[in-house]
Amino acid sequence: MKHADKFYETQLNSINEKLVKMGSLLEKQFTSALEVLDTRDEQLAQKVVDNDHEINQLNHEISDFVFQIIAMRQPIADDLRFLFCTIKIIRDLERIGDHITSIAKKATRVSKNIPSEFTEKLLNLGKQASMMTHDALNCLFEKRLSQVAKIAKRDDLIDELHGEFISDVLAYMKKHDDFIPDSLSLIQMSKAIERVGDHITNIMEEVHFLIEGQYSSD
Amino acid sequence: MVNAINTKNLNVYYRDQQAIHNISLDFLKNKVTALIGPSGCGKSTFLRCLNRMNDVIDICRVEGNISLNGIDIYSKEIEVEYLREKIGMIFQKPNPFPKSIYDNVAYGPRIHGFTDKKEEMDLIVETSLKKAGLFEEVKDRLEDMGTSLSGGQQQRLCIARAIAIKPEVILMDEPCSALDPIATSIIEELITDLKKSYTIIIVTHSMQQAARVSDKTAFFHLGNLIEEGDTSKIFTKPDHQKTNDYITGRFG
Repeated sequence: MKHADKFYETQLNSINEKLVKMGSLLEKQFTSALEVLDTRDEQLAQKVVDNDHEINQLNHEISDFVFQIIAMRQPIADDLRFLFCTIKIIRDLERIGDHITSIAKKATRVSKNIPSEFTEKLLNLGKQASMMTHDALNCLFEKRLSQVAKIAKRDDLIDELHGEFISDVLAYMKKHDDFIPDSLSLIQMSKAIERVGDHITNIMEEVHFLIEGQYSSD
Repeated sequence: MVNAINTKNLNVYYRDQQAIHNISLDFLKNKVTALIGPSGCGKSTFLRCLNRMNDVIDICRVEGNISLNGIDIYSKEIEVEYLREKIGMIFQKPNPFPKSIYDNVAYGPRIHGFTDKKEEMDLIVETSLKKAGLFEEVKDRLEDMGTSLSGGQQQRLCIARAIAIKPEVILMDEPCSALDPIATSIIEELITDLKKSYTIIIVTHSMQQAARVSDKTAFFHLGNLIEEGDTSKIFTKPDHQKTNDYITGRFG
């Protein structure tokens, strides 16, 4: 049911639209960053860096807007939960944006001569995190409680793949001194992806609160 | 937790029109319970049943059970005067008597025959005004007319008048709707203070007020009790969609 006050309804819808925009921009950025990892396309990397400003901008816009609504409307019940969770979720989305930018930047610095298995493994890890981000955003917008725990659980796989990747890179690095600078970049990228998983887990906690009015005990 | 008032299967009719549908709702002692709901939902009718204000309305019929400390308030043995001594009421618009501030407060204790000694009456008036947070503002002009006070002061005078007869329960029907924000916050602070000594039931249209002052909230809609529970829960995650829609302003 819509709010009797149409202007209030419009304000809340507008926040939701901005949140959707932030999420979809983030997904595009993630796809681009992984493409940079695959192709080392420097122009595309620069585009990712530039676009991150838009995500930061949306973060501030939404924060300001929520702040205004809380002051002017004193929202309660599901409106309050939505605004409260939005404030927390955009912070995670903004941080995910930073990690994605970092991946794009570092990817251009990695030599093309590194063993292809590392690129493939990192791409696979990135795809897991990117799919998790996609599903988490859908879960948020469609408020699907049944998906919350399942999506959050996927962070375990990301952590595991990240752990394996680090071991592989370290083992290779020990035998190849000249690989050390590239290894550091690979490890940093893997760590950035792993952090994305953590932020998505945070977002899932907020989605649980948004729907249920309390945090999950899991 | 002890209940001050229990209502069971309450049905109220105005001629053939049913205003309250089978409501059972209990009120915890020394707590503030807010009754909320859209106009015409039956919350004021319900409140008025609690001290038999509906007795004087010929077309009104009350069925079911309401008890104060376990005693049926509609039983023939209960005198309305006794009941009003136990259950005071504050109305939307402050309604002091056209008498002095002193006499407004002394009126109840006098007709209930609490005392005929001036010193004792002085003490009752002073204590009641103090409890209502008004004494300091009026102590030098107790003989001035009650109606000469500001709206917020008049409402506190009515509260002093209500508590002068030592009630157990105070009913408040939108007590701040005619007051400015400062006077409202003084009354709200007073409500929180008064619950130490009294059980308070308040009807309010202000969601923020209900959220601020009450421990329990009950949501009425079309004469039905939709949901009741802890205020902190009702205003953050109500169980019923209708409650959520009403408190967030989604009612058409």
